[in-house]
Amino acid sequence: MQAWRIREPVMWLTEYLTGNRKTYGMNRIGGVARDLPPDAMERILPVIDKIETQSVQVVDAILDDSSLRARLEGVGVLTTEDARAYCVIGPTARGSGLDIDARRDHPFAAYDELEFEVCVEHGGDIWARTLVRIRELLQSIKLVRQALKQTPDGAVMADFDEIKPYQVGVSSVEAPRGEVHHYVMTGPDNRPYRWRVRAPTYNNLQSIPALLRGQTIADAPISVGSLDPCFSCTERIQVVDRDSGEVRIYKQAEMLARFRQKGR
Amino acid sequence: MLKHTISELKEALICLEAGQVTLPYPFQPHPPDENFRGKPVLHTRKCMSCGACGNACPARLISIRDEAGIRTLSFELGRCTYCGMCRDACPQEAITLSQQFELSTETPGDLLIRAEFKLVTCRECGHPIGTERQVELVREKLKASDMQLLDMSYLELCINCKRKIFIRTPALMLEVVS
Repeated sequence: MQAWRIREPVMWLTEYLTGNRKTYGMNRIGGVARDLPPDAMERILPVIDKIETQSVQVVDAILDDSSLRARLEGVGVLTTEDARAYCVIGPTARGSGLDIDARRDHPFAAYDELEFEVCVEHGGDIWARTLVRIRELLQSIKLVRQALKQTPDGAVMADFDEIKPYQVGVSSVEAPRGEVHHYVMTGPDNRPYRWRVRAPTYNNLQSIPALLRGQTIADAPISVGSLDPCFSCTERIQVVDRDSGEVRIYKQAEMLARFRQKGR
Repeated sequence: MLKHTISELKEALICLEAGQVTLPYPFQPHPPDENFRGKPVLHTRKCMSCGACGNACPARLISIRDEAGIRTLSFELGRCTYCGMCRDACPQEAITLSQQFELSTETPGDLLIRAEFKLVTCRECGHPIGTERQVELVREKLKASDMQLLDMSYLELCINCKRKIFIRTPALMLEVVS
């Protein structure tokens, strides 16, 4: 819970910098939507300093906590072979000894101009994944400091002519949970024609059978949680009939009833 | 064992030092940052319903329909990602992103903005040429510029009729006021 407390000032900061806590909406074709405000440095650096001291304090306290270690060590083990076989990515892969990171392996943005360490642990258990995340947190702080120092002045948008339709673009970016791939095909009227996202949880969730093999039920929640899965937080769906245009909304109770019926 | 005890003491200290950190929200309002991008607001007095916002919207939630002398501009905000492209595209600064973020609802109609504008039809052929506000804006802009239309009723024509009339009487055209 202390980690959530430490995180909150970062959320306020992103709200101030981008206009939202999570959905930043900063990327545009040709650049970014907003420049950093003039007082950005004075506002970012103290927050960075504060989360660094506070995180180190918490990390320092929990590393020797034997009850936490007893709960996390040897639980939810994903061996290096399994990790490779299931093609897991991000901290899940790095916690199982796979040295992969899109920021270093396929540099994008300005990552080839910044110095950072790819954090790899070999335990394969929840403790190892926790350690990877802790170390990456400190690396990220280091990256932000470097980026703030090295970002040059200048325009935030490049000039470009009209966007040609039916051109394909693919990108892979290292997100907090692992590589995320976006495929886009441009369409007429400056709009995307096709767009496909492969989010990292899609890969990481495939390893659940290996993680849970031979474990007790009580270990299941923390094992699944240790992948930091990102599920859709949906409690209703809207179904549109394309032919008639009819719209039907299924609420939580109906959805539950429907899926339970299917499950029988 | 000693290590463990020390670490537990450290944990307790961190918690004590932090004290209460939760905010009284939702029992008290929690205003977002002034840069926050919330629910888009359409200022209908400024809007001339040109449709630039609809062209810019990546989620295609802004639609424009001309029917029975009325132009309807509608925003289906259920699909909105609050990117602000509509605001950036608007030549009239008629769209702003508000501070409203509590938009969760079970009634999709709550997330619909609809604005209706009267269409002006061509006085020769009856084809719609734009909304009253658009024609008014052109009139205002012409007044402010150093070009003057000799016959203001020229503005009440559609593009095709303008062409026809111009061929017949070119003298209707613009005169530069010095």
